[in-house]
Amino acid sequence: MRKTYLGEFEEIVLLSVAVLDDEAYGVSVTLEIEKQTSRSVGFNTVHTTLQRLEEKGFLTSKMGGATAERGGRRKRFFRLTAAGGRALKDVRDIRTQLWESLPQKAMYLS
Amino acid sequence: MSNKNNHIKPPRLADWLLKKFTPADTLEEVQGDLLELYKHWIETDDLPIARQRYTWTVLRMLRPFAKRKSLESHHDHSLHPTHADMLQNYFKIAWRTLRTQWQYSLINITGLAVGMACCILILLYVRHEQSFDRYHDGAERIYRVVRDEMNNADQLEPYATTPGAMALTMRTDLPELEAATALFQSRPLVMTYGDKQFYEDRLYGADTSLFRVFSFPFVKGSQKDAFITPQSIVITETTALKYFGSDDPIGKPMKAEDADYFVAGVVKDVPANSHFKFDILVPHRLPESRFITTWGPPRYHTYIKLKESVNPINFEAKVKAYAQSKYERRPLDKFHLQPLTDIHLHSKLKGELGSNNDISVIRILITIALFVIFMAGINYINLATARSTKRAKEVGIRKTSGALQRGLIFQFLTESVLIAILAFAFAVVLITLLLHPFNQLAGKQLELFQPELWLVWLSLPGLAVVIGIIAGLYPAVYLSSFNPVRVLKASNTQVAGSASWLRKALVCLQFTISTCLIIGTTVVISQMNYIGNKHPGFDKEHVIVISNAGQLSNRQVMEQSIAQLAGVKKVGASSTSTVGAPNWTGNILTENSQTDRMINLCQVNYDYLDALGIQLLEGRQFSLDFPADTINTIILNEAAVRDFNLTDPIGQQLRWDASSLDTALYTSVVGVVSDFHFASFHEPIKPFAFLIRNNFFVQLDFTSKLFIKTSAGDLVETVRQVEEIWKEFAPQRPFSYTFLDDNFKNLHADEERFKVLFSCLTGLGIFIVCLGMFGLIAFVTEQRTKEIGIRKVLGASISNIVLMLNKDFMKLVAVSLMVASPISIYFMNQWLEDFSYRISLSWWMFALAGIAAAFIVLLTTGYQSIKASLENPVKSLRAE
Repeated sequence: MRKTYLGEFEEIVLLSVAVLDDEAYGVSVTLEIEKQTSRSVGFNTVHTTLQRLEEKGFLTSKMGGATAERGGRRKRFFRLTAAGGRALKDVRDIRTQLWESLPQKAMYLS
Repeated sequence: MSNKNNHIKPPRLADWLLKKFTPADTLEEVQGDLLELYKHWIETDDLPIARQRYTWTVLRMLRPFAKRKSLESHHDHSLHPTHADMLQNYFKIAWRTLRTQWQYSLINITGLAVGMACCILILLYVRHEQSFDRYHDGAERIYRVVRDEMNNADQLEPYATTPGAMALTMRTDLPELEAATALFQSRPLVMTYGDKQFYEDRLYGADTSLFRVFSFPFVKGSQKDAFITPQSIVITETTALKYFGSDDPIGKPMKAEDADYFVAGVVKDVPANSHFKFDILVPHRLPESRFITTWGPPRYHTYIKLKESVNPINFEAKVKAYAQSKYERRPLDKFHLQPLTDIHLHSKLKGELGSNNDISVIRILITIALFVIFMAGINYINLATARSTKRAKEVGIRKTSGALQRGLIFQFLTESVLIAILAFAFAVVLITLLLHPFNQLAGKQLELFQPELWLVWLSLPGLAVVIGIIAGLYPAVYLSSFNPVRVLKASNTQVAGSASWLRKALVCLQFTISTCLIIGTTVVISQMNYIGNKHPGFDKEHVIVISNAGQLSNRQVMEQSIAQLAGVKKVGASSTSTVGAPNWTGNILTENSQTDRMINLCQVNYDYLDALGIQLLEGRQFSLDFPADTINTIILNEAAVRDFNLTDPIGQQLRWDASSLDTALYTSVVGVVSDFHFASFHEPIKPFAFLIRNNFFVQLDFTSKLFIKTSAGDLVETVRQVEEIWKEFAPQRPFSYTFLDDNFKNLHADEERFKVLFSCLTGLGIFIVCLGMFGLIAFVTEQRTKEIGIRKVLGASISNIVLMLNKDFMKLVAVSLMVASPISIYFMNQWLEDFSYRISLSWWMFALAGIAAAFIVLLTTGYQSIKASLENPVKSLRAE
């Protein structure tokens, strides 16, 4: 159970990688998150989070081909692993469960 | 558009940092990503903002110590020894071990703490000693010009003093100098302001050039106005407070006995780490400082500051030639440059401005302090490996449950580091307690928590950790290397025996060091006893010395009045301060010789020899009955007679070295006295001559010190009566006196201090060794409980068993005595060589050290071994 623990930001990054499908690398993930959540995200945070997720086994990565636009440097593309997909699903399930067990009046509290 | 942007490079510094600190395996992608983002930012925002964001992102990316963990190990990453959980676990286990085996922990912590406390104190002391005079701006360019007094027989007497004009003329003649100054040690004066009156003995004659060489920051007034008139003086903050309280001292009048001054400047107090310390600086006074502008008598201390590019070695040669050509009065004298920062630890010249320390003493102290901490470290190693029996099972079980050796090493190191840190905390407590006694011992005012020591305090815990790691490394590697199968199957003794050769060797090393220290202490103490008991050749008991009696009118009348007191036997007067170093040397020639002989001189009154009980061997004393007793008559000591090769000294005509005089000046020997120690026992008795202060002959009276020989009776009453007379004749000067035996003792105060420090350190070292041994014998007896039980059943007596348990230690004592003896013979002979009058090493010192070591061992192990031998064998044999 402990291993599937996902931080809020980790979850967003993981989701963004999933959303971007084959085009998920540092910059695209950063920009995607900025676009979707309309909050400013540091590239450094995204980068370390990606690495951490990979260490946890939720992502795999491989280097892409050389591109001219970034000084010939290659991109590292990330992909969701099965474990990553499971983790996302777990999180969603837990969340749904919680929402569903919410008493009706709590909905009006805010 | 994008083409244009291609040329805009991101900030170079940020780029460089990125390259430097990003792990190689991710560098490429990170660089690429950032470059892409940078372009994106340029398009969306301005260029400067983009640059800012780029730099900011790079800075936040920096993780200099981060390493990407290898992906393969991500399954078992929780077993990695640096993982936080594991670290926490190490500490928990370490803490438990410390608590369950608290006796061992206590021994280790105490030993290490004492060792560390020693080391830190010595470190502070050494730091202080080495910091002398370094606080001046450009201290490394400041030199003192010193002088070897030479004669035509190449005899040499090194002096710290030089002629007054030296600084003055060098300043104008030698372009390499940035500044030069002459300092004059003035005689003590009583200074008065209103109803405040104090006796000031740290008084120097100086001029503004002093502040160009040295950095004494002004609190009030300025360097420019410091000596603007011949009445302007500069005082320190403390002095200002003493006289003027909270009033503004500038412009306030201060009266000396012969002049009126006013305060023109206040400087910060002279730091304790200065080789000369002043309270008041006065302009060069007449008549005492009248030679400041001439190449006259060498009574000044000359300090120079070189320009930055000047090579001191070449310049020294130039100074030598320059000074020799200028100093016509003594053309043979040789001049040298002495780095300012070397004075405190390396200089022992005639006419030093303070008492300097000796670098060899510092070295010895450092060595011993290191020895002490080393022995504490050995204790740790020994106890840890001895304990291995207990830990072997633990290691075996841990290994079978999957622990790696690396993890175990980490765990054991955590233990030793924890012990070291606890010991350090304990050591800090010890130091705060011991600082005051230590200061008294060392004669210092060291403070622990000074702002400039922050670096030391920051680095010390680090040092403690390093000590912990060094001491713990071997036991950690040793313990963690056990083969689980063997240790779990084998009986205790089989495992523990394996490191015993190392333990023996280390214990032997400890014993050797302690034996060396014991021998050293014995030698130092016997030498100091020898010095204390050796008759100096004069009577030092019951002699009151008054040293500020120079240049008083009616002095001789005063002497006579004092001599008439009931408790006073004789009143001697002399030009030398204690019986210590005489204040000048001269050259003398035998009648037909051309070769100078250097001789120490001292002017005395008629009663001096009697007052000090210096024994007359031949001829007569100076006497009023011989009105011709003037500079023409002289009394020599035996050393001088030997040095001059005089067979029948009385009546011999001697010639003063005439290089500074126009006509030859003869003197005849009227008496010979037996050799006496006029200097410390470091120096051999040199040729010495007494001159008489003649009542009729017109010559300067140099006798500024009175030596009042009293009868043994009521000394207090006599002192009181002398004081009354003093007040009558010299009301303007305070009455201050010392005793000759104290003065003589002070000649060897540094050695006395060294002796106590040395003995204390030895004591602490032995204490630490005892601690270790106590732990070891406990272990040995525990190991051999069964054996002891069986032996007792078979009829062994208690003494048999005590002997059996101590036999090994005794062998080690014997071996270490054999190793320690030659080492200590070598080093102690070196120490003794500094003394001209010394004991020689003899066999009893080594025997004593051996017996002492054996005795200490028996004392430490006695309790445990007797306890073990008294135990009921039924108990020890039944327990399984």
